Amino acid sequence: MRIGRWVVTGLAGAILSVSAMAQAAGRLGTIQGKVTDAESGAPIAEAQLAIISLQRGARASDQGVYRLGGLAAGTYQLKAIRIGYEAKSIPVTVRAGEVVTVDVTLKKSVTTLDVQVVTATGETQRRREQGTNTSTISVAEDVPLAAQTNFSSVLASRTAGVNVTAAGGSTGTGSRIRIRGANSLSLSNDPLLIIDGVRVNSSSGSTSIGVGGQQPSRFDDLNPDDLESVEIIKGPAGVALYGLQAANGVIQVRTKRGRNGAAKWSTFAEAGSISDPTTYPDNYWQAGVNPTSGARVSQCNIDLQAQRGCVARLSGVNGATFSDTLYRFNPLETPEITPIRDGYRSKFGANLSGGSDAIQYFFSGDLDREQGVIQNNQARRINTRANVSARPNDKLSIDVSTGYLNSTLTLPQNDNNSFGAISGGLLGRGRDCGAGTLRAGCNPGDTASRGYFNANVPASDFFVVSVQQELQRFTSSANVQYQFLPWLKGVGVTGIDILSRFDSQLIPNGKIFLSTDLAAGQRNANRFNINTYTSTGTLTATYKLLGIAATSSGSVQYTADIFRGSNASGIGLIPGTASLATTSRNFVVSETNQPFITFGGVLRQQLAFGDRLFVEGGVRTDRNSAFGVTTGFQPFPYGSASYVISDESWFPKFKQLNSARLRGAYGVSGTRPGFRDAVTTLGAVTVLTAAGETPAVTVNTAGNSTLKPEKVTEYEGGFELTTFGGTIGLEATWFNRQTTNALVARPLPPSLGNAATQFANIGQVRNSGFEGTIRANLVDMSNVKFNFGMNIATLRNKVEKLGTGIPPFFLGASQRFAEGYPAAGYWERPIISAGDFNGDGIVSRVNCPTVGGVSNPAVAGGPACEVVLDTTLTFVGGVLPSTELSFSPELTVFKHFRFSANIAHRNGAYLFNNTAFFRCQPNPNNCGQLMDRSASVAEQIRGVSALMGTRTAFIESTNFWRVREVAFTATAPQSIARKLRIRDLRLTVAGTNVLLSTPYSGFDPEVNSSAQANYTTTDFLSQPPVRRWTTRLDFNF
Amino acid sequence: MQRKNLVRRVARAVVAVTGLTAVVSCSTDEILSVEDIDVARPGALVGAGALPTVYAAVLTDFQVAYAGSSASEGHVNMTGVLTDEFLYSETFPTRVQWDRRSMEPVNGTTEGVFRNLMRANATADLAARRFAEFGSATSADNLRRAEIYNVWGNIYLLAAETWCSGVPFSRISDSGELEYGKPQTTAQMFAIAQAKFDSAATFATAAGTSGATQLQASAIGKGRALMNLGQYAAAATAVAGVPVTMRYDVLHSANSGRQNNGLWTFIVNQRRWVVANNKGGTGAPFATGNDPRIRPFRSGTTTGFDGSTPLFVPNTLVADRTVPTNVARGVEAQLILAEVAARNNDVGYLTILNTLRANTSLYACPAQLAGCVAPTALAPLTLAATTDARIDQVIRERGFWLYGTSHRLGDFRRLIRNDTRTPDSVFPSGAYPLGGTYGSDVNFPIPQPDEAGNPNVVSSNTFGLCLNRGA
Repeated sequence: MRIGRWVVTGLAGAILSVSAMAQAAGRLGTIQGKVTDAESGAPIAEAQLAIISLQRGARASDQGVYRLGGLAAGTYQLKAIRIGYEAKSIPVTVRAGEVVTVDVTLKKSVTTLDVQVVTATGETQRRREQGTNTSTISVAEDVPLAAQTNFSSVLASRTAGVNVTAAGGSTGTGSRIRIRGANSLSLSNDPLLIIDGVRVNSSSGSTSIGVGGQQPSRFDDLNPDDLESVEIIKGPAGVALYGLQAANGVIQVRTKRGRNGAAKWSTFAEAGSISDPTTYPDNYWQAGVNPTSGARVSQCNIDLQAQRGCVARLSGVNGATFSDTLYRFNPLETPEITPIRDGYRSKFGANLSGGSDAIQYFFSGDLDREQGVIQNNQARRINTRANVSARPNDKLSIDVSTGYLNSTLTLPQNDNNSFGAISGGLLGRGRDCGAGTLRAGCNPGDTASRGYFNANVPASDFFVVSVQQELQRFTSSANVQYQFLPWLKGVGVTGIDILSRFDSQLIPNGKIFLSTDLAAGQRNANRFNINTYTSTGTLTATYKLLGIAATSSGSVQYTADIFRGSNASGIGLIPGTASLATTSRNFVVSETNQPFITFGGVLRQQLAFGDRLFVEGGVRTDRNSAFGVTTGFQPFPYGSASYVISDESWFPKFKQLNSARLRGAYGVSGTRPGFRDAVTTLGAVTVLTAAGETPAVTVNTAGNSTLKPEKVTEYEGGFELTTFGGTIGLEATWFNRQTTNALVARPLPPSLGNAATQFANIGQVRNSGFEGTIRANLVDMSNVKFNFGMNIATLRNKVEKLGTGIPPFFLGASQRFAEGYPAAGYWERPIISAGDFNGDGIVSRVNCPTVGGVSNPAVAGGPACEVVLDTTLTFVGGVLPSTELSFSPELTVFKHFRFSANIAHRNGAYLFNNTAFFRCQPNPNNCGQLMDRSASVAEQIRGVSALMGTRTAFIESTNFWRVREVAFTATAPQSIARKLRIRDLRLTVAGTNVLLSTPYSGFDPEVNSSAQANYTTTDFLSQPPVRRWTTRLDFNF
Repeated sequence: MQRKNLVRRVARAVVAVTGLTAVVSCSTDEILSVEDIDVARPGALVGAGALPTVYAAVLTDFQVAYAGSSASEGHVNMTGVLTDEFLYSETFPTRVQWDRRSMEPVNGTTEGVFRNLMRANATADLAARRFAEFGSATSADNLRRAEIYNVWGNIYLLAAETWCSGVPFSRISDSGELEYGKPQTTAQMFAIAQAKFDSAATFATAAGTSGATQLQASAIGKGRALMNLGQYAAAATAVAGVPVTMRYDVLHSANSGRQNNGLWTFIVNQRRWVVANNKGGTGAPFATGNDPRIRPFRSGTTTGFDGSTPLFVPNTLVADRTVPTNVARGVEAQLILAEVAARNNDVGYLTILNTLRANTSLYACPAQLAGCVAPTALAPLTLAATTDARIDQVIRERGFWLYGTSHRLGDFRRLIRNDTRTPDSVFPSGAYPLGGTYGSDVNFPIPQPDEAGNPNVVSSNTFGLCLNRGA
């Protein structure tokens, strides 16, 4: 570790040392000017002005003014670039010691050819130079911030190939993010997150205290209001330069920067409501009588009726103590006892930005509060940011970015949880067991539960359980660029991500009587420091090679991810206290120290033929501390070509075709094993012997010393067209990626008595698909503008090999990994035939054969089997969608009113509706499919099949259409704004999760009680996604 | 001149960066070296100094496998739910399969219990090898070796009585190679258990007077194995000298969750199952008899986790989380003698049973049970008319004396295997309270994941991974 820090210091020092050695050579010239809109004449802020051959650039101020100095005398092509405009090249002759003024006008266009993206080494590159499909989301301009509550929502349904599943509705919990499918069978498939050039922690399940399902994600620590743009590099063809951990794609975030100009204040305030749009199902209860003895039978479901164990008296007399009538009760929909209420959110913030040629600044701060729909689900966040960019002279630029987050999240024990309010309601009784109501079906003496699952306990009692996560996070990066010579540039990027997390849980003494330990009170207090250090040094030379523009660069990078923490818990709190210090027994302490170190280097070479054909190749090599001892540096080569063919003089000129680009890329990336995957370890435990408490060990992990990183190789190719005068842009990309040496957590035979799994590089996975994007400015009139965007992505995910001798293995009960099928797809025994064959009004499993180990009741003289199951497990469907579509229409009328929407469609994914399945199990036995004789035959078949051990009828298609967000923005005319002495005034009303259409019978097709798990996908008692309406006011001074 | 200086400076810069890179590249082992201070490595378990840790490792792994913990079901839990000792009172779909005698091949909970038993086996195997290599002939080392072999013998007993015929015993060798075991038949497992107990006896004898308890425990274990093999006379001989007051227990502690009594965890703390009463028509009245050997107790109208099943807890065994779980006791030796006598039509069996029942010290209040009233002597039993009825009488008494110690499943299977009883006549059968009927399982199947990678285990449609699913 000490050596590592020296390396960090050394790399930074090297750049600074080199800069100290270099001096100016001769007198230099400057280009300056103003960039304006060709149609309106308005200044264009944030336009990029670049001398491509020198890899030099500057940005225009809010007034469109730019200045590009430090240029050796000569003639250059000055390129002006701005998203939404057609790029323009202007020849400029610079003389030594002189300033030349070049004003530029740009014409609107949907083309993205010259949009600049940041590379792995901290430099920028134009899209036309890249052979890969990098998507850019201009958050500050294109995303209605009022509809964004976290970073995941910024990403959702805005880019082809990026799948974001906001799996639940608990405030402060995260999403599952997948880019171009899932590469790994056993390692994380989460993408790498880079903020302002440095790697940061992006753990998608970041908590040490389970609450039954949904968890906070570090992705969502990013504040949408701080974001300028997000670039998504989707696969190894584009991310090889990023090395290890980039195989799942890279999400590169650029935070807002100051602009050259007077100081500007921007403030905003937003407030909104949160509601649960779900209609929860009734709980059922049916009593009956034994046909032989006449004795009363509780829980007389159709299964028991079919076995002649009871007869349901559908119109029985309601007595003083019981009734045999079918009862339905719904505690979650009963206003006085439902735990679900409307939540709210509010956010206030301000930022100050401005600057001069030499220095620009952006400072911001905001406070965000949210109350979820469950009482004890709240979040409070304070974000501050300070970004400063300095250009002390024409050769040196320094960008420093600093963000600080302080958040407190309170989560309910919910979902798959015996304390859960929603699970308690869904698994509860078909009767309101309150005082004075009919008592049948209720626990004797229980007047408190009111139909919730836990007898004698009001569901509201569980709100005293407090699970909190307090977070302080400081992220900072510095990007120093120095132009040693007109042809030689050095870039140093260094950064830190310091994350201090405190997870705690308090179960007060004498409040929860579900168990002895719970009644005694419990405290967990777990503290973690999760730090990431990144340092990169790069030298880039730009020169002519045989008349061809060439760029060569070499980099070294050091990354350290260090996880340290301690867990502590105890039981038996003194009443009225809430600290570990007052617990009395079952003390548990443990400590976790997990450092990962990666060291690597990059060599890359680019050749540019006339600014239209770009060929690039390179190799990155990495070594990581988690590799097996026999594994050395791992090479990750890449190559790409980009050809703006329409720029060729021989290319036929069509009026309807403005630009055309062909591109192709190849690349390799990798994913390192986990911390102890390569070593066999023993855990320390204690055992009581006659001699007292004695230290002992037990098996912990079964390591594999030969582990290497997974390698993901990807090929992609595609084209981009801009047509009809720049009003319509088309992009198409095909990709095919293969994971080799895939790390498979192969199940170890339990008879070994060792760990449950051992990692081995034995698998092979393939993901392939197509991505298409259309951007269109369909109407562009003075009072009406209509833009339209569409993304489409297809995906085929397949496990090609599991390893010699590894049979298909399960992930839970129904998901499994099998060669030739999607990873972790659902497999079950299908229903061959089913129906009410004897016409008695109920479907039965009586006299059905035993399948899958579940025996069915035999009734002599009873009906023949009415639900016939196949004996063979059959593939039902995968968990990743095969097709995703999103539409983003935007209508602007009278210049001041803008309507936008984001509409998403998914197809081809399946979800196990375990909530419905479980309700039909012997306990709680409260589903309508089994209790209600009037349920349709199809529903009865589902219920009965659940008792037969097959989940097939509950593994459902999750195809859906969803209006994910809508927004209406009204901008006050300048005349009004001026009267109010403000620069801009905007009002936005936005809604999320507005409409949903789906055949899925559960609460929501995107719900997943294991949202942050790698593959586990199940709908089990989870808080479904909520609906939000937010009003936001923006004032700019 | 100026250009020359510039070139020189740039050259220096390039050399500096290249040199730094080279230096760093040459020592990446050091850069990438990280400390892992939270765990031990297997290499630490070598040498005489490691023997106390290795011995303790056997005890802790056996404790979890046999008696459970705050997080894991032990064999005492699992077998009790399959038989008539415990009644399922919760919602977990994996454990309801035990209760209804109808197992699915993929069952994570069952797999966990199996893995824990096999872990204890692997640890015992390792410990036996380490003591053979590094142990001394001292009384202390012999005593530890005796206990290791006694634990190992009990592991084989549990494997044979709980799991179907065909249990593979695998291990990871010292060099890290996976050595897959071949499936062992039920009879083979009992024979191996017998051999382990013989070894335990040898070491216990060598330990001298301090080895008395281990010597007696080995005798009981051997007797239990022989009873299962139908070698009744040999069983009686094996246990003849064991005093009735002898006890060999797994100890529990509140020190950590892993050390908690597993019965307490799942019955008292989590209310997952309760004391059963006449379960499935054939079961014994464990809940209502107020038998001081169990002390079934219900506080008010408390229920199991499901909110409806009356929560009867066996206070003798679960007064708190630290009550020891018995592995072998002198009473069991007497019960073996009684059963052998009954099988021989020797009415002396009744004397043995009634002598035990009259001895209140054998079911005295556990120290952890506050407010416990000293028991009065159990009423004597009367002579049953037939051999089968006398055997039933002994088995019933064994049910109460050995309640919650994973003996009941072995007793049931022995009745089916050795006495040609039908499974439904001894196991809970008929209508299942939560719907449907009881299944036909009389043991637990080898978990499906053993198919993954163990070339010696072959799946069949009839028995899954087992050689036979019969008793």
